[in-house]
Amino acid sequence: MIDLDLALALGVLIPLISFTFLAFFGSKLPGIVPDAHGHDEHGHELPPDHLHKSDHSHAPAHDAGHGDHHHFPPKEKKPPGGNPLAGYIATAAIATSCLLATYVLVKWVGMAPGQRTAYAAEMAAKHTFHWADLGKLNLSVAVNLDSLTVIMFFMVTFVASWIHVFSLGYMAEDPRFHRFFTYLSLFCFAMLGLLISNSLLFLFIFWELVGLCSYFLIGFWFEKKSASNAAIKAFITNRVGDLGFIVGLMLVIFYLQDVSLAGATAKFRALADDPAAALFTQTFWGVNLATWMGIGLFCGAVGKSAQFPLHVWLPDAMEGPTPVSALIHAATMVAAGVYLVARIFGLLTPQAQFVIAVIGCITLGMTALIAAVQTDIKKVLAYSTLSQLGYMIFGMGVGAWVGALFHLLTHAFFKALLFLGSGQVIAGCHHEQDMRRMGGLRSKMPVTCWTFFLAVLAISGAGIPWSGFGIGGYHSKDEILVVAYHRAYKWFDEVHHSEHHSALSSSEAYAAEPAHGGDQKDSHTTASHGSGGHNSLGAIYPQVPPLPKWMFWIPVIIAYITPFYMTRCWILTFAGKPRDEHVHEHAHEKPIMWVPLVVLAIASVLCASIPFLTVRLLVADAAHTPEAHAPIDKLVGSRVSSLTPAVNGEELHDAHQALGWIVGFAFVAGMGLAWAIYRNGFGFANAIVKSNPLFRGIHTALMRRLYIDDLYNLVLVGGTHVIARLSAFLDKLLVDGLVNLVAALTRVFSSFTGRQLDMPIKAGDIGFVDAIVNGIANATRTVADLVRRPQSGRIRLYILTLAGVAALILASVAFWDQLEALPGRFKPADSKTKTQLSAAIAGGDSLASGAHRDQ
Amino acid sequence: MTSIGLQHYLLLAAALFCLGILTMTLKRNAIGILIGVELILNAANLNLVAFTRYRTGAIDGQIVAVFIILLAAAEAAIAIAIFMNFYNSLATIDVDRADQLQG
Repeated sequence: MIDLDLALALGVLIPLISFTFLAFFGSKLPGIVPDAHGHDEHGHELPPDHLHKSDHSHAPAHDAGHGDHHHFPPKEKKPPGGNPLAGYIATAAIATSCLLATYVLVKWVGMAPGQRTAYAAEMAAKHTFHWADLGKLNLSVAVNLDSLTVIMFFMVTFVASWIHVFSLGYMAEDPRFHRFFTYLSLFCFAMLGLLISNSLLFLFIFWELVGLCSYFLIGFWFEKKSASNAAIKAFITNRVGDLGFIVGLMLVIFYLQDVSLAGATAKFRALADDPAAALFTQTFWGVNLATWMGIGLFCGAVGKSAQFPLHVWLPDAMEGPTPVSALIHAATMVAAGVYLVARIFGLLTPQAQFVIAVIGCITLGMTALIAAVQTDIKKVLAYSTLSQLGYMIFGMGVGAWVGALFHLLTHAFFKALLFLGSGQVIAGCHHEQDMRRMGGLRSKMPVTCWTFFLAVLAISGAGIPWSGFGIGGYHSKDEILVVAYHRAYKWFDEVHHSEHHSALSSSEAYAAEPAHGGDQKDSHTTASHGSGGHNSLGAIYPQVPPLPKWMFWIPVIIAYITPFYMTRCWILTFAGKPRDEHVHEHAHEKPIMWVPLVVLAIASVLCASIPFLTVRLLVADAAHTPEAHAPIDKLVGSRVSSLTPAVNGEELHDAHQALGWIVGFAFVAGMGLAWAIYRNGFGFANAIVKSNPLFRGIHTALMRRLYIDDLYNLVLVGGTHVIARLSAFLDKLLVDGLVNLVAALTRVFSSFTGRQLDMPIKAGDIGFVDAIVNGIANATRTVADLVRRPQSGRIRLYILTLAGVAALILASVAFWDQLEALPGRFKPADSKTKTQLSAAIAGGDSLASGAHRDQ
Repeated sequence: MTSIGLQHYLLLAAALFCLGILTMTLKRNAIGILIGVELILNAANLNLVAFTRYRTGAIDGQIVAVFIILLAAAEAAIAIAIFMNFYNSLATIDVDRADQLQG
């Protein structure tokens, strides 16, 4: 049947087609639902203040004092705004992509690992489109077909499909319904394009495109000032990160001269062996360019995945519609940063990796603490997303390539589920997002409540230690922690071990250990690459410093806090007694919205569980691709880190055992603590906070987001203001002063020239300029008088003149010889041709004789 | 004078040309001028055809002549249209009366 890479490319193009169609015809589609209010056809053309107006008229009770919430009138009173057909088209498009992705996934899983590589190489040779040559840079377009792309593609299309279905319900009342789905289709196209890009350049192009879609969708309700501000904030913050990405890309192009993922890694590795390579010997601020290149590319991920210095945009991005938060700001786009780091992993030096680990560590710690005090349900989830992204980035930094990507995939399912659950709550409670007004929704929304609880278990990493039985984060987050533990504590032991027993191949060591839990199947696939690796791994260990111990302990502590804040969120929303009767009364569920919840709940349980290790298997398989996996045997004493799959979570059996004691019961502790504190709502928690000034201070700091937003506001916004004031002052003083001075001088000068040189006002003045002007005018008139005489308007005269002149010319040509013979005349060089011509015209005999010859 | 050669055609064409020039110069009637123009054009046609026939033997000149005939027809149509308007505004086609544009 169809080649797999073409199937993926088709899967990318279908949302693009849907986008194009909706962009042009979305507003003109015929409505399906009969329209009672006459608003349907032109719903999108309502004035921008429509929402607010109808809000005030329909739901004044909700309005007071809650500036942070979406103000939508109760649905039964609102005119139907959306056009369902647009939604169906977009949903059908992404569902088709999902079917293609499933087809590819099934085929791909059916192949043996070696067969996959061969197949991908064959397809790359067959379907590479040569785009351009820029100097030495060869740009070609092809689908990057490997296990990571296949599984990510499936995840994105699957999650996106169900979020589309959810949006059909969630956005049903929105007047810009078709526009929402237009943007969603564009986003799906960009995100899938990003996944199949085989070069950094195309990755960057799609990278910017998803950023643009994110901007559109955050600011979807642009009537709200906070939403449009959030959109601008997200876009500008991402620009800062992308600047780093561009710098990194330029370094790649300049030094590696290859932007393809595999090619750049290969070149980088070749340069690492070259002692004179400029990339490694040239330094900037004491750090070599190779490290700067890695950090630069990572900056893109910092922006997109909202890591520490640039994390401020993601919580604000929750101003967008909830399905958008689920799709873009939780499951897919923000994870693109992690995906990028995974793809450029072969370009990272140990120093760059360390930077990545530190950034990830800071992010995951800080944001989890902030999440624990938020009262807005979406803000809790936003900070939890930040924290989980921090885990992934941290995992990348410590070399847990497989673990980080595995966590990305499991996180996508359960975080999409959490967001959709919160969306259901928000929609059901008439766009109420404040948990202080919720509570007790369990009876009103049973499906949402229990799927949400499942997702809470997944994000908490619930499972039975040492048994291999658990869901979600139990497998993926723990794998990251295992590698971190290994890097922090077992590093030097391994170094010595490897130095003394370098002959011991890893496959032997591997077979000696019982494979952990359900990962048994996997061990066969990883053993093949591991055997080449461990021998010389010891040689490069000294190149890479061990991880500082605090960088292991922070993620472990956060593993206790994660279940706490997630359970807190669940309890405050669904358990206990209703805190706001009005909200509770109207709460309801819609089938079109809870079906996706159930599907995603099943998916998030299965994606990490034992019998369904496809996800984990494929990610581990992807670790063999060249760009993820520096060839360890080649890298003795080299400057490139090659930790990747070598420090694979499941190979570290001892670490895994130890970890069972350290975080195995974290979810029990965290959830228990949350239950103890929040069982009866906020009362006990508030009492604790008030009991001690220290707690109060911490709480305030966390509520203020650790003052980072305030700092940016002060330094960046305030700084801009100061500079603007200063510029305005200097403008007034210097520029305006200069201009006014020039004007004054001109006035003085002109009063002199006007009197003395121009306009002879009174006798004695010179009038120099006037004399010139008048002279020119008079001369023109004289010439014109002369010239107009012959223009009598008599046609016969014209003709006569014409004929006469023509005759004169003829005569002069005919009698050229005679003219030439006159003494003192100029003699042209080619008089011969002229002579012939005049002869030909004057005397017919020679021509006639010529004609005779012809005949 | 045993046979008719190029010379004879050229002489005929020259004569036609001169007659055309004279017609254009001497006639005051616009139609007469138009007839003079046609004479000149046909003199040129004759030259083209004659030269081609006697000098190269190809048919380039004939082709150009056909083009000229075609253009002459178009030109006559336009000229007569102009004369109609001329007549409509001045009630005459005496070209000497058309001197409003003189300098």
